[in-house]
Amino acid sequence: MKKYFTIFYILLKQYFVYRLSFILWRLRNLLGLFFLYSLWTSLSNQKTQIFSYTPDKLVSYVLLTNILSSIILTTRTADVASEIRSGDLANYLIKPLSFLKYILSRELVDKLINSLFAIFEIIFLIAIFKPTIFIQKNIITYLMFFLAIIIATTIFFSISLTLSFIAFWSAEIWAPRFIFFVLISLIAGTLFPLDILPSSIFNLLIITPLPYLIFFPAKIYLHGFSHQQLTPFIISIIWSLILFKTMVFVWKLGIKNYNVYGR
Amino acid sequence: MITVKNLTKIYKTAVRSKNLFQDIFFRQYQKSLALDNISFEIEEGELVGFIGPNGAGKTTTMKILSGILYPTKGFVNVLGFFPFDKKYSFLRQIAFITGQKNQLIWELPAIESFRLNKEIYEIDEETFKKNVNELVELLDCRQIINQPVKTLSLGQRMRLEIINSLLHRPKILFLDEPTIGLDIFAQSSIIKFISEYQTRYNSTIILTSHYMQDVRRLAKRVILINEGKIIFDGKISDLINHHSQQKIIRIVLISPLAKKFSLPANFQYSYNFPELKITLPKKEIASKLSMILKQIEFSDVTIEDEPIEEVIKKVFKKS
Amino acid sequence: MKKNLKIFWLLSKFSMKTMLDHRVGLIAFLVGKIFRFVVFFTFIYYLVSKTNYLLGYTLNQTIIFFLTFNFIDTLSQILFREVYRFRNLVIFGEFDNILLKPHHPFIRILIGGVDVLDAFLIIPYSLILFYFLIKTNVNFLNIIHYSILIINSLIIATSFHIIVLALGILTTEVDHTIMIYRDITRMTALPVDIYKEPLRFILTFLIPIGIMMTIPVKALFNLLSTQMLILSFFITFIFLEFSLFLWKMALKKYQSVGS
Repeated sequence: MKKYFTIFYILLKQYFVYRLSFILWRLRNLLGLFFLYSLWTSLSNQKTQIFSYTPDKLVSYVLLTNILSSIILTTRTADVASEIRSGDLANYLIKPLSFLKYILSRELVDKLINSLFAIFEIIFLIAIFKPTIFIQKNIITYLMFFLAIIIATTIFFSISLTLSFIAFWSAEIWAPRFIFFVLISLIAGTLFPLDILPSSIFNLLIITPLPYLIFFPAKIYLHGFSHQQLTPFIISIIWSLILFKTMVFVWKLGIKNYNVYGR
Repeated sequence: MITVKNLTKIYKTAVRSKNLFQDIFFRQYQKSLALDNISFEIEEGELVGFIGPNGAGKTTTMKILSGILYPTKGFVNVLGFFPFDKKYSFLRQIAFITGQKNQLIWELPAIESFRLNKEIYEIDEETFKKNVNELVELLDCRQIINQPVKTLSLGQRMRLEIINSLLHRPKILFLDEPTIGLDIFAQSSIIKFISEYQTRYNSTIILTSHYMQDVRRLAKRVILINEGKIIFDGKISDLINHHSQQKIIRIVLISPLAKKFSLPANFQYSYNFPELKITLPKKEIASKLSMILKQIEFSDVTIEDEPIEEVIKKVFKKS
Repeated sequence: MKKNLKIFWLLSKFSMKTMLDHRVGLIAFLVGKIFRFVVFFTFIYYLVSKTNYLLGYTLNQTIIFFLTFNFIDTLSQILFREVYRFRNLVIFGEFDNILLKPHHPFIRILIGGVDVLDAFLIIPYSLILFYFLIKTNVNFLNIIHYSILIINSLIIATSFHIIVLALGILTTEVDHTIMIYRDITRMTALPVDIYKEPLRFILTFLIPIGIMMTIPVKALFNLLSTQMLILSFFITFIFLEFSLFLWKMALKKYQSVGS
């Protein structure tokens, strides 16, 4: 276990070397936040309530999903695909460490740094625009909220890594990832709260794993945990288990099939 | 044809500090002197080899002469132009070939890249066909010009790369490590081509190479550069005459040396039966060699110049 | 000019042939792009149809803002796709060889890789835009203004890409700068009016994406004063000059690699 701590520490230091590109990445994130924040505030200036959302809840939703994205949707698992294609993966395979645990340490560092930055950005935004935001007070809700975040992280991590494992078989690694990102940006809940959609579409969406990435944790925070959320909660747990198992299965299949490409 | 006077080039590289704010707004630079006040001239039809260790300034010189880099100080005139202006009439008269760098379109057959260059250099159809045919013959690659470049070996690609760069019959040709990474067959076929091409078209060629044998076979004149300064400019034969005071004598023995055989202490020699190799100062060859030969039974004797690599090493050490 | 057109045509042909090598990826990207457009379009349509107005703009007007943004954005992606590959040209030294060719380097590094996929998608995008233009009452003169200002937008887009190239030479960093450009322009998928001051001022005059994406549509709805029209052209001119200045400076500072 100790070696993974060391890996964690070294990876952390890497961010200071590539700090400029990291800061530019955060800047991009901030630009997206400005857009959504401005869109929703200008809409809610016209009306007291949009669908079931009061202005303070809408603004809270935008800010909250931004932090959630920084925790859940940041990843370095996409690098794995190019590591597989270039043959660099072999460097890890010959070392006495578990590649999956290594990836996990790398992932945690990334999430840690990104979420720290996200929190600062949002404090900055709140300081400038001084919006009224909604603060949840129920302890149980917080507990379920954190559970939902862990489930969401597992789902995203598993799908993203599985997509990278496509590289074991094919050079077409960017197209599937592109589609995945498009899907996430639209139906994971980063653009708008999904329950403003007509209920027929909404009920269809919650069978898929994507709404559990962002929308569902945010919903729990804003509306509290009630028996209504029990079914979706169970669906999300089932999804996370299935997707994680699939990822491990594909990994095992992939390394059996691995010929070192390049060099 | 090429005149360079007091040319200096300084590279600036940003130094990272611990402080990001400072890195962005008050960057610290480290200056490094790549070329230090060099001057030389090259006439039409010359084939000049640039020699020097990595980072000596060879490639920088070629990149300034071709117009890629902006000179920090000094006068540069190539074919009557200041290269950095990149006048089309200038660019049409030069070519720059680098080993292991791909200019050909990777996924498509080389002939498509040739067509592109035909348009870029405004070569008319007839000349284009003639030039392609000639070069393809000279480099013996008729079969491969219609295959996608990505399916070819490095040696094959290098030959096509050369054709691609010569379609417009440049007056000046810059060759930067043209044989790097190639196997010995590919290497010698390219060297042979360069020398044939030069005799045929009397073009001016400037060459850098790590393989001294390449330079020796091609260039009469060499320019040695070290740490941005020219330390020798002249014929290879002069370089050897001036800087090599030694010759190497190889003797093939019939029977192993007797135990009592000995050479004066200041002689460098190595012995591995049947060969005895002795390094002698030029002046002493006549007197010392006969003395040695009297003591042994041998079947063959050869006297060679010191290897050019050794001579050059010495010159660099001196500077 | 004829020579440049020929080179441009050949490069476009090559980029098409190269793309056809990756057919599976091509289809996946096509599906992804269509899907993104459809959902984003539906989202705005649905949202504004519920609230009726966005900052006083009607549903159709809001949709035209989005479709115009989409049109300009797609058009500049068709033309300037090669910029996305510039970093590799610089770090592997291929840019050296491009500089030595007797043609303007922009032919190769700026517009040398026409995006076939977007060139295909622009057809349905234009038809949808055209449909909504007909549905909305606009007069002929305003359409003329609108078209001229869209050409103006393309000049701004060109300048942005030249700046990205120049920064690429100076810093060997392209991927982040080009994505930041994309993110900034995406902020104007809806009119810049949604932003509060001073953000709105910055996005209109300093980083002129407001002029690029919002002003043409405002002219279309006759909401633009003559002063603002002239100012738009003037700022575009300054911005273009600035980008060319930066480019020339970058070339002088270019250090190539491995020397």
